[in-house]
Amino acid sequence: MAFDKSLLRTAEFPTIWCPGCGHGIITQAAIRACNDMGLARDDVYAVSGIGCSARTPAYIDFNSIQTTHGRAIAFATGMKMFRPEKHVFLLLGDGDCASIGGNHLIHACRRNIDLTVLVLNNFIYGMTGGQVSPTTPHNSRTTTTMYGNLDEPLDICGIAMAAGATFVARSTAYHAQQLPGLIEQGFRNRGMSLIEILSPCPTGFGNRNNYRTPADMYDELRDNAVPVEKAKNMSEKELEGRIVTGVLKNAGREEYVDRYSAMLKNIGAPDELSDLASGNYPAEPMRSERFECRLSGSGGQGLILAGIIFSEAMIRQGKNAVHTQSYGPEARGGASRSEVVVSAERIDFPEVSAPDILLAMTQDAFDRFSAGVRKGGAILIDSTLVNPGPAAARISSDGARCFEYPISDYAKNTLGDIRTANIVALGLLSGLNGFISRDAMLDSVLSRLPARAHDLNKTGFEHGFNEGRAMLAADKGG
Amino acid sequence: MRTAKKGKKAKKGKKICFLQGNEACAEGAIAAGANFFAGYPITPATEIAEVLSRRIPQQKGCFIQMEDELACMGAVVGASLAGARAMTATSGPGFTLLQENIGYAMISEIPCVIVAVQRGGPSTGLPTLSSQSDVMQSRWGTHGDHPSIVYCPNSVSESFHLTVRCFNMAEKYRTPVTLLTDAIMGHMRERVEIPEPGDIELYRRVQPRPGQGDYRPYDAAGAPVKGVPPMANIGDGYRHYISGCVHDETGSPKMSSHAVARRLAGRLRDKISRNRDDIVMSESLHAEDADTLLIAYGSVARPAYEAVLRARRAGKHVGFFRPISLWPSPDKEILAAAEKVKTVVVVEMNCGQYAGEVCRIFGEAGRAVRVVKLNEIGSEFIHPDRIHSVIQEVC
Amino acid sequence: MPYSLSIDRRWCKKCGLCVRYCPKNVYDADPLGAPVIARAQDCVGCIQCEARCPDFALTVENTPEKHDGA
Repeated sequence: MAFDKSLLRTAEFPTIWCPGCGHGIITQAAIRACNDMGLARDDVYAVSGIGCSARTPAYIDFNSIQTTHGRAIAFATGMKMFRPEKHVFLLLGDGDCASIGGNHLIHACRRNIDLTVLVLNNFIYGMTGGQVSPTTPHNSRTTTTMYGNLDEPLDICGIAMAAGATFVARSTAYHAQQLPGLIEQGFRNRGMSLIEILSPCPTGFGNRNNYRTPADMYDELRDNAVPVEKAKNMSEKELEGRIVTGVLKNAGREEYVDRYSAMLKNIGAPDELSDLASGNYPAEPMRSERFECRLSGSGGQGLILAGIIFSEAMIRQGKNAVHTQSYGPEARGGASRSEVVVSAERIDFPEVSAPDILLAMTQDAFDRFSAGVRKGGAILIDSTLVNPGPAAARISSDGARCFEYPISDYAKNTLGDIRTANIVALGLLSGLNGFISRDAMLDSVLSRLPARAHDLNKTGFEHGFNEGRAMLAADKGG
Repeated sequence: MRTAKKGKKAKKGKKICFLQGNEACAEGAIAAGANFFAGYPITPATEIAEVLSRRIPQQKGCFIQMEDELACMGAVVGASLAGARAMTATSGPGFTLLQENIGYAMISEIPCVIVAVQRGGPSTGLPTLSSQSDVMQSRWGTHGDHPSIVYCPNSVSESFHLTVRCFNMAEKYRTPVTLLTDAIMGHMRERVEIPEPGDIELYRRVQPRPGQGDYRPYDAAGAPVKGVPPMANIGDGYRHYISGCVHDETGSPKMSSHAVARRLAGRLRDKISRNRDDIVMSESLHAEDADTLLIAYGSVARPAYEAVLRARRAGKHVGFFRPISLWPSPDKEILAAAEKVKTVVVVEMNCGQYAGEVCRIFGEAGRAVRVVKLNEIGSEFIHPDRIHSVIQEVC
Repeated sequence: MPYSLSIDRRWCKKCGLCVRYCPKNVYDADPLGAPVIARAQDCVGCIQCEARCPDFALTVENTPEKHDGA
């Protein structure tokens, strides 16, 4: 009959609750349950939100954590995940849990994470003076429903069950001696347990709704309660206004932290970052301090990857490289721009202003970007898809050179896979620029592609490189 | 300038990598010993969660995608209370949602790291474009009076190293620390040297002495780090009441005591301000002969510095100052750099949020300088040409 | 008497639940509503009062000489 009173932090007594408030009864029941189970105090986290219910952990000598309004379940999720050996129980109000905290309640139930949630449902926002809550009965008067509550009360247990909690029960503060047993069952359930306990608020609710004394409210709980076993045989009409008590659901399933631990066991060794420490890749020196390359086309042409490969090749060659990108919102088919700035020294502004070389893999890209190429720069066009048209004359008068190759046609019809087009393009770009080492670029290509794609892409790259070199030689000679 | 330099042969154990800013941030978290991450998808920060969803479980840590950012911050704080080195990552709208529980972490003094990758705002704004418009949110986003520690990287390398620093500062000062980056920095890829894990210095929270009978969770008397109470992880043998209320040294809420409130607010403020020399970071270049000082931070510091170099090559006496900690602001350092300066140009991709702080710094010091704001409010990355033309106008 | 009852007056808020619900009518209420232990000899140790006291103010204990394992 006696519980270990040393579990109470009596230095904080008398409690803040009003005469007759059910929260103290529920607190006592929770302590009895923990006592009966012999839980070590250091192993219990008692977590609350904000409100009258939130004061409960202050009075119990556990690890007591009052959090923010509606968020206790989120805090508790972090605690339980990190310290799965601890017992986490929560004491929440109806507004805290099911109004502002409703989303967190739903997802904790869905996860079936091992928390024991006691909902101290006084069907009001008590701490703030008695405003309507999601569980306030229809037509009740509260400070924010002066004409009577328009809403029906939310069924917190129903939500918990629907969202996946594995132990759900309901009782009332009148049924004080049943509570420790229910709470213990909730604790022992390996998963999300929710116990809704109706708790009279004589001040916030009772006074405004014609309850003369606290005991009048407890009388009503006693008279309206019907055990679930009996309720099963009652009609919906008969159950109107009744409080169904007892265990409403007790169906185990895999718990979240257990699943997480099992997942960890199946994870392999940690990833290793690739080291691009410079290797031996002789090439001509860069002709200027900064080289800008713009790869443009449409989404799906692999230009982002091409830009990354290009950059990594430069880094393997001991240079500095920055890659940026922009694209339209569509994943495929929208405009895509992948840009690389290369330098032997530091790179401050990381974006391309006037590219030394532009790759245009669609007509749209060519039309948009060809005018921006630096004087003396170059444009590489995929002639399968791009026709320079009248722009060709303007480009050469601007002092830029235009190179054309049927990249997509070669990729699709010679190599047999259109997805190699970006690698063929990289080959051409590398061949066209003496400071790019063929081996550095090829090593970068192969390191970024799965082994099964190596042979085909190597062929495509080397073909592109040779064609690029040939174009460069012809250009120099011409 | 902290951009990556020309590569020499990497030192044994170091790796030369090519990483996206967001990836570098995630790797920085791993290097810092992060063992708890709670995130929610949001452009342009999602990559951080994606990388960590793979990397944190590899380190046997906890990764969870929560139902919203309110829950993310709650889970991060809960895990940190239990001893985790915890982090979340988000962008503007999500950063706004984190604020509620950032405030809790501030008053309850719980170490944690927040990465905010800025994008165009307000509200949904420009999800894929950059801005620097959360500078003030990073300072004052959560309600109430409180200091803030915020670092702002200007390179992928800093995205890595400053994330490590965020963890260290969070643990050392028992406070949330924000890495304020942006879409450009988050998505750009650069060469970065990743140190050998053993070469990275990690700071762990000071805990009470074992069996310390007189331990009080908010008592900083005699603490090894001035003003920072040793922190017992919940469940390790010290049972206290932790809350977001104003509290005394035992943690007991004292919500009617002006004296307790003053004592707590004062200690929280002093905890950061008296340790500012350890916390503040900045970079000052070419200030010795400067009559004009350009101030820029984050990704904007890149074009800004290029513009300064161009102006100096043309003979202008322009200095460059880069706050690396935005908050606490490097006020002493700015004043030192601006000793002979008559004009200060503050370049930022917002309406002048940091320019206001710059004005405050000079005003409080009684220094009369002209502060010129070069603002971009349309999320277009400011080009060096634009900055250079303003320098030419004012110099 | 097999059970000894005590009320901690520092904590009791005079809500009247113990008076209303004692099945053996052990308690009376004084003019301010505070419980008075009027018929301790009738107590059967059901501890409904202790369990239902919101203020932890009521304690029902087995008296040492008549402990019967209840």
